[in-house]
Amino acid sequence: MIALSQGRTKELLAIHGWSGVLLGLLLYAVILTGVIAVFAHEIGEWSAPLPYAEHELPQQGLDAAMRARASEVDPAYVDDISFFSDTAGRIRTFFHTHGTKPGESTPTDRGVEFDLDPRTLAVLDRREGWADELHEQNLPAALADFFVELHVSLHLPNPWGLLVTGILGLAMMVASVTGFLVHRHLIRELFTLRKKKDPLLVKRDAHVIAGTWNLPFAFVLAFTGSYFSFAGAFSIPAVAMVAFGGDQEKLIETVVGVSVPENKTPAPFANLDAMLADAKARTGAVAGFVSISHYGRADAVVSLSMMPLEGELASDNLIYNGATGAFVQQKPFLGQTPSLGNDLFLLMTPLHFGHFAGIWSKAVWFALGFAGAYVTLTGMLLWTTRRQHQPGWAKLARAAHWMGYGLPLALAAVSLARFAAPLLDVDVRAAQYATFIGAALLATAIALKVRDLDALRRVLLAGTGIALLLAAPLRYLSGGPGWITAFDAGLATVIALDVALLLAGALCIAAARRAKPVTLPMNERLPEEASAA
Amino acid sequence: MSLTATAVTLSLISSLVPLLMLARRDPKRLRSSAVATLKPHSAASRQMLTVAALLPGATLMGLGYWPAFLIWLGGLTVAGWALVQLLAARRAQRQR
Repeated sequence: MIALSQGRTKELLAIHGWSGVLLGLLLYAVILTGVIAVFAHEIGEWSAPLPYAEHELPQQGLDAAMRARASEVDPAYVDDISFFSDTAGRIRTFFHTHGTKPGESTPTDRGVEFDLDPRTLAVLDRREGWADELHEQNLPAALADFFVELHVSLHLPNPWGLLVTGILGLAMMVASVTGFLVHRHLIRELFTLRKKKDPLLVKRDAHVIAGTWNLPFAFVLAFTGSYFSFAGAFSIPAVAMVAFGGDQEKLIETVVGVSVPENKTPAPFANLDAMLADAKARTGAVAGFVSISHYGRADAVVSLSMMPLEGELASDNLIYNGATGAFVQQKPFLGQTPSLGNDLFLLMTPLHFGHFAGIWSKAVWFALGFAGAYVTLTGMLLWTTRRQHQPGWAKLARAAHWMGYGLPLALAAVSLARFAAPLLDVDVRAAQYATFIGAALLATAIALKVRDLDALRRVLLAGTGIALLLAAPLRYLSGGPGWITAFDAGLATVIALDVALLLAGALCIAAARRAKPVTLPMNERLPEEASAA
Repeated sequence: MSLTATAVTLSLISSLVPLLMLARRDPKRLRSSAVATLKPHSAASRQMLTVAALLPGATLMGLGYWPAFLIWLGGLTVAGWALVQLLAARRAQRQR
């Protein structure tokens, strides 16, 4: 127990509640989409499966595939080449150069992107243009991208979206710390959840218990999320401004790149497959990301980011001379020599994304994120519904219900749009956006029409349940594999996600059938409020 | 089953048993739900069970199995939350 004066407890409780209420609506959206984004690869595979399950970059045959594609594209685009296995299991290959889009100030990439079959390395799709245009044309990753971008930037333009999500991460940290401080009997009440007391205590216990158990990870996820948001929105441009005259490309090249004297002399490129084999022999791991700079020149550099080995959180980054194929060095991701900063940087990614040990870590991170969303929603509902009889608070209580139960409905509707769009011959990404906005407007109309908050909760939950139940059949009707085909092809993800969505839909319908009192007594105090009074 | 999966399974099971014992006879829980049939743990036995619940995590840390340690820690917090919910729901059902 942390001893605080009554005045300090009161202040912290006010900060905890107000930070949650003012930013909680958006914070809930970021956390909920983060929970979904944990399974971005699985969603990609589920929504656009290949005839087989492949999740790794092939270590043989890339050399021939790269040379074949390099001969087809504008020579300017072989300046930078990258390969990786994307969320939908395709090998995404990007031949590009750097430039500034007309009318914009931030540098970006322009080039040709190929989706390659991970087994045959045959071209499945070809896209050309600026990076953002390529992104819009990418159909297999459309559904996963929608959830990830909503989580990362709320679909707001750069850098505003990242700034907003960074601030929301800070708000989550504030709520975690103040919640920890105001809850006076954290350990003593770790197992206390009253179910048969008055509704206020039941709701308060549900919020506090979930918050207490989830506290360490809520802080970690908020901190790492803020770090990623602010790094992209603020830190990189600021450091570039101070130290590199605003040249962000130069900054990134200096911090994460390899220092090689420029030599534009044409030179044949060494065998990529041999470099991949050498990297595997040195580290025991397979490459997950391949980056080639200055292909076909004497100063060509190949950077191989290896997958983490079993039992490891971080991975290796190997550098090869592209012209000779010789191994150059094992380089830290940040800087040229090992450092504490590099080690901390490497920790950020697994701690935030939870993808360091396959389905095991993803399942746990999903549950932790779900607990975070539950704490945020129950906190907002507790704070606002208690005060709903005071002027202004009724609208906030309604808004909390609208966001809490309307957002899952809109997100579930997006997956329906993903499968309905090809059947209706409309653009998938545009259909996803339109459906999300349409479902949000529908939820708004329902929130304005249905006066009783519990009835509102039940209607929106029932809608979410129906949408979730429809997702799997619609996936099948739009040409996706059935369960027998998926089983034969080893596409366990397809079957698992179908079952999970059907179960989640059934649970939503069941929850919608249960009535709950939502008007909480005004004249009673929560234990924290009593100690602060 | 991979080394990480094996380590996580063993460590989580080893931690959940003392956690369940802690939760069942937690003094505050028994008091708030008016359970007279169970005797609360003494302070010494609570401390012993807490150490037993945390020991698998400390072992994973000591051995340097960081992925398994992180999954164990996350799994333990989620399982702890679920356990409290289950015990409360069971108690509420009995009181009906």
